[in-house]
Amino acid sequence: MWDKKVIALAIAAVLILCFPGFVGRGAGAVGNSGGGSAAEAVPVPEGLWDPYEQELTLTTVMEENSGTSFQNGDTYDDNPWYRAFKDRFNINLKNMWISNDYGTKLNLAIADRDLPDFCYVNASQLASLEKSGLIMDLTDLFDTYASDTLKSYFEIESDTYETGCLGGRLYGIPQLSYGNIDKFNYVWIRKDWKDQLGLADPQTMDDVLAIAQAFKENFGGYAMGEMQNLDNMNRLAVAYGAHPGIWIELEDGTLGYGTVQPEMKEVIAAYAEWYAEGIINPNFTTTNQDKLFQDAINGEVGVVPWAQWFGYNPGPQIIENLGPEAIFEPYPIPSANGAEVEGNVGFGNIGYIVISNNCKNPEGVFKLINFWCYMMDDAAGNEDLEFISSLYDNNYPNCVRCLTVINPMTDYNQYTKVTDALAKGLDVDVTELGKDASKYNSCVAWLTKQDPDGVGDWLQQGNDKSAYGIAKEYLDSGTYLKDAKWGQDTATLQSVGSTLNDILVEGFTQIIIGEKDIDYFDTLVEQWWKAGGEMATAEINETYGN
Amino acid sequence: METKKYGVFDVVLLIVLGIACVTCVLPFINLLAVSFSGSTAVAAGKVGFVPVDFTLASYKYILEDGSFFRAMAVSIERTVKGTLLNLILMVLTAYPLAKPKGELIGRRFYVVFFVITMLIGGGMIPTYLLVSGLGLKDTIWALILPGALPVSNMVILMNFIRELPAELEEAASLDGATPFQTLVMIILPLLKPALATVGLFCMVGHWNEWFNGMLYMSNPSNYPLQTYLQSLLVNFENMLQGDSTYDIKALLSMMNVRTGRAAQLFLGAIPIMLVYPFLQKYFTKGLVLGSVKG
Repeated sequence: MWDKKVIALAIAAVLILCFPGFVGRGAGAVGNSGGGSAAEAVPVPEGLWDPYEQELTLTTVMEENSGTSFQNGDTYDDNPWYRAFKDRFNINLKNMWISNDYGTKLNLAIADRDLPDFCYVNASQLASLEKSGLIMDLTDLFDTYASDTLKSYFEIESDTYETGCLGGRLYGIPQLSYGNIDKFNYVWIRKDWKDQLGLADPQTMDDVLAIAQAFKENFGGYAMGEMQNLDNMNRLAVAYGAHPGIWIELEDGTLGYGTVQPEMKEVIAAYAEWYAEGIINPNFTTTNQDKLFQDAINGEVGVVPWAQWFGYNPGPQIIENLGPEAIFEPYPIPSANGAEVEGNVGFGNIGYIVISNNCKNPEGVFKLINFWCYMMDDAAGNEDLEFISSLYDNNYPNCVRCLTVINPMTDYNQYTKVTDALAKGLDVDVTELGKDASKYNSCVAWLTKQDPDGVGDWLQQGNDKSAYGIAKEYLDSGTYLKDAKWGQDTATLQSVGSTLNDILVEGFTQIIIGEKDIDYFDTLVEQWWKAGGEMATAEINETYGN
Repeated sequence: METKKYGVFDVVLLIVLGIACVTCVLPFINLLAVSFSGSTAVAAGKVGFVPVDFTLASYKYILEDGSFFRAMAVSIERTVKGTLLNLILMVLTAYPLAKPKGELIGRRFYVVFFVITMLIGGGMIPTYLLVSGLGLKDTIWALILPGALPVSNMVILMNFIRELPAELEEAASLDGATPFQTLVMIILPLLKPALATVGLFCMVGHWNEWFNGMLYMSNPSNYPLQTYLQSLLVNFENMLQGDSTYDIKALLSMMNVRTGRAAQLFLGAIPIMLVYPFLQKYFTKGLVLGSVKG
């Protein structure tokens, strides 16, 4: 009896010990077989824009985006962009896989060492790929094969270019974002109510409060929209010279987190007062974004601090439910203390393009990126309008997310073009506008037919009181503050960042609803400091400090 | 006349169970109402348990789009093939393991061999490497083979076989039946109720599983239904959170598919809802199956 048990245990132990061994060997074998599949190199054409004489096949991977509405049998594998690549450069672009959980799939592919020729990754994947030697040093390739347009982006955003460099060499091309113009926040105020009461545009924070109060007295509901995460308070905080959510340079020259600075105390004290006066949504602790939008759609609230896209969502639903006069218009967040208001600009970069070590024709990838940039910036006037719109309609740019590097001035330039065209009239020849024609057209559709689908573009760019118009003033006058953490989170923030934020949000909420005194703020900051804030601050200073 | 008396305890029990039932059913009714409502009414939060602005647009869209039914076909194929393979392998494993000590050489070894897989998994990445190394990726077998033998269900089956009288097999072997003949002609017919139970477990498992579909399929057009539905939800949430990195027009168009999503979720639940009432009795049986020792 005894010896049988012993044998059974021994077998179990052996099996357990063998198990990782089996797996380890299997992984190694698979890894080796994955690397050898790359094709032969194809001769490189002379000119930057010349096609390959022999067809070049490049592989990539794709994130599924259900916003893409494919027409006439187009797919992720066969669409106007891919056909244009074949047409212009004789490059055959192939998707190794398409997934809606891009991050997980990519991590598995990295573990399997089964990388495509090129793809986009996030900052931590970039670092680990470089460490394991799977991706190319792109510094020289970039100098040789990047078009002038592409290079010009990184002259504007040289600090973002740096975030793609490891040890001084470029390994990932930053994909940038639509630019700083879309980062600002506004106070959105319902137009028909404001007109009915004959109220003037708000010049100070008190004006905003007066408008909110007047709405509540005359139309019911509550005065100002807020959510459980206190996002809207953070949006309004710039009125008091506070900069929550970003890292800022303090008076002593070191970097500190905006949310725990003394300026925030003033914001929270004011907010607690507003809450007591019944200005803030009384149920904000149980309100999320969906609920807030529902209230706006149902006419429960007329003042909402929000980002530039409020007109897209819930804009059209508000119009369908309450009529075209009920739109919300954006106003700059006014000062609360007379000082100039500086808007927050966070770090925005959608990813990094990396090229696998096994890629035989890395210059082909640059040709594709160059083509993307050319279509975005220089195509208007040079290309057939029908061709341009075939690439941009139906959200087709989603199909080439792997090679998009976005001109950081895209939205800025688009705004200027659209407003100029609208100033000329509603029947301008749109050929000159290129891909921006669709924005112009939807503004016209809103103005002439009150088409709800056009209201988002109109409030973002077309209106006299447009969100981008206000943001442009911030940018042109330089009254904005860039996040000092221009790049990815450091180790401590990655592991405990959300906990740190929860401490603050919960504590602030207690102060606002009157459970705690305003001096509790100092206790909270201390807790934050102990829970990892101190370490995070030290790391940020080390990585991003001067 | 005798009437059954309800005590206070029974009343409390009924009320508690009633509330539990209602909380299960109400979200479903809400989903159904949303799927039949206009998109504006849904965004405004006006839809409770009765559709507002009644429309069949969502269902029309699903019929025309086709990807829902393509995913459903993959799911059905997987469930049918997977369950069949599960049943065959479970019977083939459970029958010899149910033999008493001494009749199967190395029985303990095999039991430990299988039980270990219940306690220790390979982990996501090693399993992925194995499946991809075997060249199963992008085939239906990547969804079927990695879980081809559900060990816990096999144990249930094994215990059930043990409860059958040993005399049956002795009689069969006296009549000259080989072990395989005994299994097919004597044991298998007796196993029917147990097979229905574990078969149902396997079926529900295959139908509901979505993660492997996402891992092993390179193209969304090969997704099984649950993976497809999950991708709809995830894409939607991503868009709501990822403000400036996503195209805002895409966000806008997503808002309108909220009702469509409800319709697809509802349709996706129908097949299992249809099968359940008929197999439910086996489910409850499964809980006590093999637990009674003679």
